[in-house]
Amino acid sequence: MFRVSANSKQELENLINAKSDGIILALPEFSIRQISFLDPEDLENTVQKIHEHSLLAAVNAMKMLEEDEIEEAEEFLKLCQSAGVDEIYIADEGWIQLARKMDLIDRLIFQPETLMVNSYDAKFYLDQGLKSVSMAHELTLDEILSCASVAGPIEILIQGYYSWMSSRRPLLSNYFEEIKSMNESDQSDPEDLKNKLYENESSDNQLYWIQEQKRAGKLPVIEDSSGTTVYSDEPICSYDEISLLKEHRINRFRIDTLFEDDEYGVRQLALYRNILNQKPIEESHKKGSDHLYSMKTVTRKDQMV
Amino acid sequence: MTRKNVYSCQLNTGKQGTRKIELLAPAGNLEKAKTAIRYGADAVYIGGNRFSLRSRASNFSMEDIQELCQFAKEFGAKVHVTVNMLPHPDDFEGLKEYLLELDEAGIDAIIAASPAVLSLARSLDVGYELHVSTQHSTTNSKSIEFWKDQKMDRVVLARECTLEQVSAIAKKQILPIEAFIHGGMCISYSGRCVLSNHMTLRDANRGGCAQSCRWKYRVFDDPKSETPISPEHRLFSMSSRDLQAVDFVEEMINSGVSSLKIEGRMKSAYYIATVVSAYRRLIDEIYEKGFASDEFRKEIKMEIAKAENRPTGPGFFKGIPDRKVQLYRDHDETVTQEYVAEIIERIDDEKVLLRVRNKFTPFSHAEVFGPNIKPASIFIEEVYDEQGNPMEACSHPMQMVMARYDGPAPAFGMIRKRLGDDTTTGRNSDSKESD
Repeated sequence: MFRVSANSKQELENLINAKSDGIILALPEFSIRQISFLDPEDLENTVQKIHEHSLLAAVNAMKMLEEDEIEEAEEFLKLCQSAGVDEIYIADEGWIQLARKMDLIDRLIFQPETLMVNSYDAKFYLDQGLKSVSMAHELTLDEILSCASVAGPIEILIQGYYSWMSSRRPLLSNYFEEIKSMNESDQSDPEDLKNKLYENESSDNQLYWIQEQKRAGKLPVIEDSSGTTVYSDEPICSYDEISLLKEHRINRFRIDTLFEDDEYGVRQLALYRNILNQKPIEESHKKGSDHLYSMKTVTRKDQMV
Repeated sequence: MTRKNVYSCQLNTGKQGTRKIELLAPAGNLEKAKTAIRYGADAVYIGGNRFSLRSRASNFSMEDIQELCQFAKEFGAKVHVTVNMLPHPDDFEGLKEYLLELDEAGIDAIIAASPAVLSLARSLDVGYELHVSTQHSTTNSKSIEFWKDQKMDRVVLARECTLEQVSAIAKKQILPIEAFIHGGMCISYSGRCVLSNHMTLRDANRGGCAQSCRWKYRVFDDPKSETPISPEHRLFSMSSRDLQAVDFVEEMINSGVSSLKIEGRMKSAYYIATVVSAYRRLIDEIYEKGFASDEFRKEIKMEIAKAENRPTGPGFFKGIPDRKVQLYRDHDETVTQEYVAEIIERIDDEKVLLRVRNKFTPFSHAEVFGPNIKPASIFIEEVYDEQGNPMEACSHPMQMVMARYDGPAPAFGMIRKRLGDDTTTGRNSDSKESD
């Protein structure tokens, strides 16, 4: 029922002990939107350990597959197959084609963050033989419920930050380069500002926050070798909705632990289990907002209320 | 209706093959679509009143689409209709009827992002082709194999592909490939951005994109900090230069790309005419001579620059874009030329009937261009109103006037002037080349 991402070895241990039904692992090269990665050589042992506790091991393979990465992607899938990985999260159709030939298609979960906004599209991918489809976050609660009745085994992100924008470009590095170039001709900026700007330039993953000039929320931004992702200003939180989602036969709930501490996944898992078991929950553990479930978007400016 | 193969040979097999690459132009209304075809587009893509992105484009009624299909047939051109919104559950109402009406109208293809839309069209056994939209961000040949297995007819590649990747994919000849060569670029993978949804409640994937990516943002290295690390006079922005691929068209032709696509359904007829005719000349040159020289490509780039209002760059064709391919300043738009008059017809050996589009004055330098002719510099001498009275300035858009100049006057031609040249330069001014 619950899938929780593990962002560190400690978190992995915590999630195994908490018996998260499924644990999502990140590996270098094809896992995106992660801060830390499992060594591929440790995958088999890790999966085995997860299986020993009768839990499922999932892998994040959500990078957009580029033409010159196809062979490497096949090797990646073989590694997952030989390690006994149960579920593989993907975001483009190339992975489906590769998995089909390797008889892995029933382990795939299509999770493009956006795109999946109706039951018919979800059903299209499920009819290909995929295990599940993660619905987009821009759907309202009513829309999600209506999809659930038609599509089949859909998955919902119930807790955590989610992507607002995914780019192939190194947007932070390019910006810092721009500032650097500008400063070369303008020496008026204080030295400590320049140092702050450049200190993380060379690292693989950069984490910053951006804030639109006229808006309050700060959006986390991660840049890595696969590009740049801008995240929501706050996590989605579904304490008030999960029971209804469950009543509508949705059985896959994902908790994303990105940007959080090693105990976060376990705390949230316990909270949601308590809610479903009709036990009281501690208010102090609540984090995030459920405004998305009632957020209705329009298709034209003149439809704005 | 039995599904027909509307393209006699779907795959471009390069210069040595039998089928010439398609030049595919955008059009936001009937006038622009006809202009694109007259100026050399092999096909146009348009949006209907429903189920299309670009809700701010004028879009076409079904009657417009029928008229355009008839018009296109006369020129041997094709009409593609975007049905590319990502529909929410309530958006499906009327879709089936709409897809059938498009078939009746005689279109050649739909471009769609939703597999449900594509599958529905296929189940209806429509006569037009099914093209997978760039909203799917297709970046590899395995994805194209996937769409082929779904019986799709063409895939529009993601703008994130390098030229090398485009060539490698096209050479596999799995399905006809469409690649963008010109126009605006999303900073994100297409379809993978909902900034607009969350910041303005306007749905980016249903035509409401507010381009929130292009706004200005302060950057922080700590979420709790109130002191940004970004200088106030150069804030962070996620805006890209437009794509301009003059240097890459030859390689795309040689590698077997089937269609070269220009972005911009919101753009003016003048922009479309300028950009389409320039790429038309480039493609024809490559097919005729086997290559386009540096000098020729430079000429084409200068021609395209006369339509641009945003700086251009190579997009991803030369690799991952660096800072120079992005825009950070407030006023990066550049307009060098203005469309001042539409050529209606030649009245006699001296005078040409024009329809005014933007202000111009008699005795000024300008440039004529039109379908199937190279741009030519002219000097507009006297201008008269319809009653024959001499005019000092033509400042009323859509007014019919008669102008005297020595130069070509092609039907459906356009006259443009360089911005800043709108003052009377005098009868004795030296003639100069527009650049």
